[in-house]
Amino acid sequence: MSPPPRARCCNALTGSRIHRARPPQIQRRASALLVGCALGIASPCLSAEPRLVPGALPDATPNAACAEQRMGALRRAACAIAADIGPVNEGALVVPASIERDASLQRPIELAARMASLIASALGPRVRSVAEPATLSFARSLARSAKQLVFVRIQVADGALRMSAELYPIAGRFWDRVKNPAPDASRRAVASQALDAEAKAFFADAPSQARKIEKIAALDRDTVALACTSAKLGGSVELVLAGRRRVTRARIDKGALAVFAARAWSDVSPVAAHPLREPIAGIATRANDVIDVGSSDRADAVRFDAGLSPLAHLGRRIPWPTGGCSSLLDLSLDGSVTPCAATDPAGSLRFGVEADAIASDAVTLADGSVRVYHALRIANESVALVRDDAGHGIRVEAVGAQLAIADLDLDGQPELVTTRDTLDPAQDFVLVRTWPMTGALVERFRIPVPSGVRALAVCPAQSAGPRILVIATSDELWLVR
Amino acid sequence: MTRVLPAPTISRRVFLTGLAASGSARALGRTHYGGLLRLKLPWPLSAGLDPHDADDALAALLGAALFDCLYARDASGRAYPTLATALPERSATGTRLELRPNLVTAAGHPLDARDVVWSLGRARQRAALGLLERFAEPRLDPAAKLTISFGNADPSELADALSKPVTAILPRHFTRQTLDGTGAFVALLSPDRWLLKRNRFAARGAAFLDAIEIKRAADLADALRSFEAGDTDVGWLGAGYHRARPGAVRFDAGAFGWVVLRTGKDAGGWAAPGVAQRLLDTIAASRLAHLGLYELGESSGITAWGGPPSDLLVPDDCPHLQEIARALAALLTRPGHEVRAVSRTRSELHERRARGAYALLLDFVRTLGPTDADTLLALLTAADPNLARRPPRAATGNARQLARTLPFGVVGTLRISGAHAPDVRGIREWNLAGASR
Repeated sequence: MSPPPRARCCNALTGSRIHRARPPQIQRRASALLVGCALGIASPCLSAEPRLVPGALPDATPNAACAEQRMGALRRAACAIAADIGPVNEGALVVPASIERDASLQRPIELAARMASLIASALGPRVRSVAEPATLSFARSLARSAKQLVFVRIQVADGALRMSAELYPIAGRFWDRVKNPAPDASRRAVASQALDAEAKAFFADAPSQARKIEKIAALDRDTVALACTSAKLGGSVELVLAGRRRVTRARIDKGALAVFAARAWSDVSPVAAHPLREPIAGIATRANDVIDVGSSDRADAVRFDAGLSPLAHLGRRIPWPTGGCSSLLDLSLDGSVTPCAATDPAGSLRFGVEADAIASDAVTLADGSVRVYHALRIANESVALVRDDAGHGIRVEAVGAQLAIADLDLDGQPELVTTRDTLDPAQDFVLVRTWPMTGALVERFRIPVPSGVRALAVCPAQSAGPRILVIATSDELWLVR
Repeated sequence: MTRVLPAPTISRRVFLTGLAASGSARALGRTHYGGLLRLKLPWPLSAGLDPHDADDALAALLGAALFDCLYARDASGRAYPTLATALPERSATGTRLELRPNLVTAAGHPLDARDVVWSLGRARQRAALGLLERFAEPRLDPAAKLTISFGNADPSELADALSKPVTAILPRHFTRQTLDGTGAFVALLSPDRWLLKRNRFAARGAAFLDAIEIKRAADLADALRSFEAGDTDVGWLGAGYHRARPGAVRFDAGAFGWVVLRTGKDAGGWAAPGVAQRLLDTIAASRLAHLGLYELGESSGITAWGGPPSDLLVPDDCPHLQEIARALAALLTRPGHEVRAVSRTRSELHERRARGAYALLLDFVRTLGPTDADTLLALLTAADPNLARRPPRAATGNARQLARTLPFGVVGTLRISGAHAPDVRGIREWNLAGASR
C-alpha cells in the first residue's frame, strides 16, 4: 500500500539532493508531487506562490564593509546579503529562485547555484545551499529540516546583478505547520552590483559592435578630473567632475548633464600658496558615498559626502581611485601611495619615481579573484609605468597627461587608456590598449579628440556590454560605449 | 613712411594661466619642465629694476616674470584675481579685497597685507600715480589680517587699476638689486648678466624653464649677431644681423614703451610744450626705423634744431637709447645749432630731469596698458605728475598727438619683437613664465 500523497511528497524531498547539481526534470517531478499533495490536507506544498514581478528588485546602497574588500561582484553581493540578513541558524538552507534574466545570460542555473553557494559560505560554515533554482514553496519543503530558509531572488538587467534575500522560519513540528503553513519572512536583504569579469563568465560573449560616441555639452569648461559613481546601477551615468572653480556631481539624463550637487572650491579650500601652472587633479569615489577630490590648484584635497559637503581636509594630496593618496611636491606628485587621512587604512606602495598623472582600478578576474592595478606617468616624461599587485609591470612610451586603467570589456584583463603626448589639440587622441597576462599591450581602438582631452573616467556598463569610457574635452563630455 | 605693424595676437600682459581665468583649449601632453633660455638685451643690467618706475625698460620687459599684481586680465580684458582671493567687493565699510593666504616670496619671506599697502603706496608715488589717485589710500583691516580696504572705490575700476604691472606687489624689503617677489622666476644679478631661476614658491605657478640668462648687448647689432650665431635663443628686434637664422620664428608681443625726447630749461623757447613733438614729426620714418622704433612720424617739413648748441643727454648704460641718441643728434644738428649726444650716469640724469637742468634728454616711458586711457595716463605721468592727478579727457590715444601738448616728444614706440629659436614656446606673447623648450 502506498503512503498517502502528503507523506510521499515530503519523504521524497526531505534531506535529498543538497549541494549537487540537478537536471531540471527533478523540479518538474517535484511539481507533479506538489499537485498530488494538493489533494491531501493542508501542507507547505499548498502555500501560495509569490509572483516574481519583473523589475521588482530595488537598487541597494552598497554595503561599505563588503565594498572595501577586494572581491568580485558575486562575492561582494553575497557578502552584502549575508551582512544584511544577519545571523542565521546553523544548518540554514539557501535556495535560489529562477533568475529573471538578461537575454545574453547563458548559464542561469549555474549562476543561481553559484550565488546560493556564495551566500551560504558568507552566512556561516554550516549553512547549506541548493544547487538548482526552486519556487518558494518547494524551497520551504527543502528547508524543513534546516528550520530556516534563505530564499534568494536574482535579477540581471542593465549591466547589473540585483538580488534580494528573505529569511523564513520553517516550522519543524506538524501542528506548527498546520497553524501557519507559510510564515512571512522575518528579515530581508537586498544587494546590487555592476557586472564584472566573474559575473560575465555566465554570459555569452558580446558580439563585436561599432563604438557609439554620445557627446554632451559640458557645463564647465575647466574640467581637470572626472570619476564615475556607482549610485545608480543600470541607470543613468553619474559623474563627479572637478573643475578649477568648483566640484560637481551630475547625472546624464536625456542627453544633457544635470547637476544635482555642487561646491565651489573657494568654500572649502583656498588657492594653494604655490600651485602648478598645469594642474594635476584626481577624484576617488569611496565606500559610503564618500568622495575624495584633490587638485594642485588648492591648498587641500577634500573628502566630501554624497551631497558634496566637506567631511575632512586631506592636505596637499591627490587620491588614487583604489585607495590612498600621493602627496604633491614642488612640480609633481610623489610616486608613493599612502593613507589620505590618519584614520584611513594603513598600506603603501612605492613606485620610486615622481609622477604627474595617476590611475588605478581593481579588476575582477574570471575566477572571481581581484587584482589591483596602479598606473602613473613619470613626471616630466611621456612614459607610464603600470603595475599589478601580483608583481607584474610594464613600461609604456609616448603617453600624454591623462591616464585611466579599467577592465572596459569585463574580460578580466585591464585596459590602459592614454592620450597623446602633444601640445597641439588637433593632434590629440584617446588610445585604448589591453594589457593581457602574457605581456605586451594590444591596441583595441583609438578616438581622435581634436579639441584636446582634459580628463578620463570609466563608468559601469548600462547593459551586459562593456563599461562606458567618459572623455572630458574642453567643452564636451564624450560617452564611448 | 610708417612701418605697418602686424596685428598683435594677444597682449603680452594677458596671462591665460591665471587660476580663475577661463582655460585655453589644451592638448593632452604636459609642458616640459626644464631648459635654459638665453637672450641679450640692449638695456642696462647694472641698475636692477623697479616695477613701479615709469622709465624702467627692464621692468617693462621682465617685471611680470618676477612680480605679480593683485589682478590680471584675461583675453577678453576682464580682470581676474591672482594674488587676491576674489574681485574687490563693496561692503558696509567700503570696498575691500583679500590677499591669498600663505603667500611667500622667492626667498621664503611671507607676504601679507602690509606688503600690499606698502607697495601700492610706493607705486602711487611713481608710475601708478595717475592710476591710483582716484582711489582712497589702501588701509589695513585690523580685524582681518589679509584684508585691505580702499574707501568707496568702484570695485571694477579698482580691479582694473590693480591689474596694471606698475602696481606690482613687492615685499617691504624690496630694493632694485634685491628682486625678491612672488613671480615665476627669481633674479640673481650681476652687472653684465642676470640669471632668472625658477621660483618654486611662485604664487601663480613656477616657471617651466629652469632659467633665463640675460646678458647686456653692446648695441643692437650685437644682439642680432649673437642670435644669428646661435649664442642666444631670442633675437632682439630681428632674426639675425647679416641674414636670418635658419628656422627662426618671428614674433611681436606688442608695445612696451616709448622713447621720448625731453626739452629742458636750457633749450630756451624750444622747451615749450609741443615743440619737441613738432620737431620729431619732421623726421622721416626711414631715418629711424632701423633702430627698432615703430609708429614714427610722417615727415612734414625740414628737420632742424633751432635752439642753442645743446647736449642731447642719454643714460650711459643703455645701448639702445645711445644708438637712438646718436642718430637723432645727427638728424637735428645744423651749423650754429649743433646737437651732440652725451652720455651721463642715470643718477645725474634723474637729478637734472627733476630740476629741468638740461636742453635735450632722451628718455624711456613704459606703457601702462593697451588702451587709449592707459596711453594718456602713462605720458601724463611721465610729463608732469600734477597732470596725471587730474587727467583731461583726450580725443585720441595716439601718443604722438598727445605729446603735442606735453613738454616732450615721442620719438617712436618700442615693441617686444624679434625672433626665437624654433624649439622655444611661449615667447610669442612674451609670457616668460609660460615659456618652455
